Amino acid sequence: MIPSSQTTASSLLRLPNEVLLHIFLHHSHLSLPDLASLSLVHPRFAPLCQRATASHPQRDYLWCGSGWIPRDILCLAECNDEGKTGWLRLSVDKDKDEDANPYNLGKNLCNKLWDRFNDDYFPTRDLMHLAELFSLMASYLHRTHAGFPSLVRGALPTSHLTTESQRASHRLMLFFQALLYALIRSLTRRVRNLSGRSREAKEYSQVLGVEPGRLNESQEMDEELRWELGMLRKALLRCDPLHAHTHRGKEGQPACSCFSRSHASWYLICWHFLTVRYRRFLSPEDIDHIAFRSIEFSVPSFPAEASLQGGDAGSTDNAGNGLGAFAWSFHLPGFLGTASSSTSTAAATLPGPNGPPLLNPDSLLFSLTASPTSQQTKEWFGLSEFALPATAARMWAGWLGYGWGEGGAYWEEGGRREAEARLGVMRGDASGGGQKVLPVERVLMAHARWRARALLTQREVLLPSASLVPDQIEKQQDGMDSKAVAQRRSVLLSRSAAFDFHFLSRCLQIQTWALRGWGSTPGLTSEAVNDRTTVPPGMGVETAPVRGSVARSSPFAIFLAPDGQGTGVVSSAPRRRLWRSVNAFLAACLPRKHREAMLARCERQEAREQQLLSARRWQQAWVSVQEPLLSFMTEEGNVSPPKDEGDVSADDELTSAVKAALKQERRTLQLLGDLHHGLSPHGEKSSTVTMCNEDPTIESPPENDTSANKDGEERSTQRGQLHTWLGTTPPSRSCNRNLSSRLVPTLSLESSAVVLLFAISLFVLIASIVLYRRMQ
Amino acid sequence: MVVLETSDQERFTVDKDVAERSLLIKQMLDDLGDSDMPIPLPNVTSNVLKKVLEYCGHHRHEPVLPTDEGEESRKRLTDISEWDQKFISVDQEMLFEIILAANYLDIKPLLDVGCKTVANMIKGKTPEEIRRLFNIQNDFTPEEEAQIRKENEWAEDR
Repeated sequence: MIPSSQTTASSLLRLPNEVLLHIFLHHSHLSLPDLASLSLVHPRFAPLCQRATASHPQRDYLWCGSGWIPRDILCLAECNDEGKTGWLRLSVDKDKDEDANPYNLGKNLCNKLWDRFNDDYFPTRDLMHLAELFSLMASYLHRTHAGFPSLVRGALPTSHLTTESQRASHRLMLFFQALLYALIRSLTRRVRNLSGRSREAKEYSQVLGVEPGRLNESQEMDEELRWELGMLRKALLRCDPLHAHTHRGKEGQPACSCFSRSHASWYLICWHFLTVRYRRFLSPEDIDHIAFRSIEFSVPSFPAEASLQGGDAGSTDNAGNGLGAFAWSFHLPGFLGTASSSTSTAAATLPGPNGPPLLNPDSLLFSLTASPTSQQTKEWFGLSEFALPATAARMWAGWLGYGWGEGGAYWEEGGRREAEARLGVMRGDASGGGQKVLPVERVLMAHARWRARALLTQREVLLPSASLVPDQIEKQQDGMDSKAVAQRRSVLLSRSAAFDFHFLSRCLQIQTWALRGWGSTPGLTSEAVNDRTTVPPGMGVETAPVRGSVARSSPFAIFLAPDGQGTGVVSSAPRRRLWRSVNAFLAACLPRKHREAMLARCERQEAREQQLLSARRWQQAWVSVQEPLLSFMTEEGNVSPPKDEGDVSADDELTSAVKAALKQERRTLQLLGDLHHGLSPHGEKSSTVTMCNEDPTIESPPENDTSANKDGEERSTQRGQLHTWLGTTPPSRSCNRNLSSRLVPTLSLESSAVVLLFAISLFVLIASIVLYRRMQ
Repeated sequence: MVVLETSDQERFTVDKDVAERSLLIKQMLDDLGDSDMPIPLPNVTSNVLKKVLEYCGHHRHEPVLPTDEGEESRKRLTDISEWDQKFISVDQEMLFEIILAANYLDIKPLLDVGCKTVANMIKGKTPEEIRRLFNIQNDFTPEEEAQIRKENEWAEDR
């Protein structure tokens, strides 16, 4: 016993070791992490904490065989000898005998584990401690890749850690996260009797330092729930896949496979359950976090070039490796595809006969289930559909004010207002690389870059004419099926033009809300689209006028071309068909020699029109890539419309169209480069630009020598003068009318004479017939 | 009745069943037999003993469990009763005095209440927060601290 008068330092240090140990041994109050913290407080505490740790019941949770995590389950999470993960091994052994099948074994044991979480009585506080413990373990394994800490070393089969420590720790980390998920799920399903709740509420009053009797029962429950949410929030944030990955990146460690879809899925699912259970207590920061993570984790779902050309968007390899804007998007097999698939050759990008499913951004954004790992996760852990990321994405959309009913999506007016009000105070978390950029902007940037790369690929592979003068075009296309080429171009360009406007518009809407409040109108929705997606007057460009609207009954913007068949549709097609018919009729009336000449001329004329059309569509596609990025510019910074070049001959017209398309291409790439390097994302004027082309298979435009390595990492950048963005006048639609008039094929002198001759002949014939009848 | 004399020479006369909540006093009474002599408590001051007796008076009718069994059941119990919470809502100095007195007088339930309260104060805090809370100086040598940190690295991300 130490008399009180003998000490002047801390009161706690006055306590004898036996009393300190008595405090530390209160395991129901002090968790393992608490003891770890205590041991760092004072040298006297460290040995006492070690003794307390040795007998702590939480240790059992981490022990195999005798504890909660059966050895069999942990073995399943190990690497096998072939370097494949246990998770993969589970899926290939499905057909084995029921008992011997590790898949079933793992599934059953895991279910038992969850049942135990769910059915047995455990004070919620104990579950919170477990959540903290699991998350700390997961975080530690992720940070260090060092195997298990000394705390539990020896309790686990560690032989594999010496050879495959990195993989093994990843698997185990994922496994701990899965357990964390199980725990959180069990919390949402728990049925607790009232007396139990009351008792726990009192305990929480102590934990929270609230004087007993100061709160009524419902207040106590609220406090309890807040405390739980706080604990679980911390636990989850430790397992944030993006932060974990960023952490590794900062340390210069190689990219790892831990940032998988499974990881992201678990994370979103856990948040999903938190929102179910603690909806009232979620803070705006939580909503912010969930929203942005949902967006960011859905970004890699966007397809690679290969899948753009008719590939399967659901396949893992194809999914998402088109987004080179994220440095982490490469090297990550299973999540974003392999490096080889992201550097697909030009030949592999030939279009398939069917339209790619990836062009439905809603399905990409709101259904992340097209992932083998997600499916596997679902099967192994017996998840129902509602717990999968699609629902998580819906939850995210729910925070934006949308609800899902039997008939699909609908917009809840009241909920929307609240959501928009919440979003009004939402700000970006600027998570990447110290750049003060909203994640939404990153998404938009990624999209624009993805699309620019797709366009470049298409230009090089399928539209070589775009960078050539007309004479060269004719030479190149000699011997090719011009109709097939034209059709292919048309399909590809219209696909590019129609590329995921929905997604972009939603991102832009969120961004606008975040920056300017919920009442503001984003640039790509509603009537604004009519004005902003067209091109300047006199530009000589055929527009693919995109009319946009956001229906009150739907969360998605609707974009339609004038003929209602989608964007990029040429409005002058009916007239061209008419003139083609007239020409054919006239040719049929002519003598054979003249007929062939006329038909040949008509074909040349038509081919030229198709080239012109392609060039203009090409230009329009670049303009539409620029469009979502315009919101990054200030009032002063707007696209300067190209000069009106006036009436020109057909050859000149094609050349100028190609030049205009190239000009738009350069401008877009410059804008992307600027934004990527933060030169003028918010209107800061800059005199230099950086051209970015991430795909090594794509040649840069001649004026902008850029290249990238095989990993898609940007390498070079040649800087030139920035285009000055003058004026604020948005492009008007008058050019469309000009274009339509120009696109009508003009009759040559020869064909005019033939027509005149034909008309005279017809008149003479009719007059003769009339005269003959009168004479009768 | 039993007379207890504190370190500051103040005497307290209390019922025997109240005094016998302390296993130390009970043992002394058994040794002394029937005697009017005051029992000296040189490690307890009067203001602390007053609090301790208040606790013992409140719990005088509760059965005293055998040591081992009682310890286990007490450790399993996570909650502190409402009265105990009010009782122990004192400043830190007094709290530790009560814990020391409970330890000296061998009053296990009171010691538990005090220790649980301290554990609750520690719970969820970082080392630095704990140091601030209890005014503890960091006496680790750099080498010692590095060693302890390494051993507890797994809990670093707290």
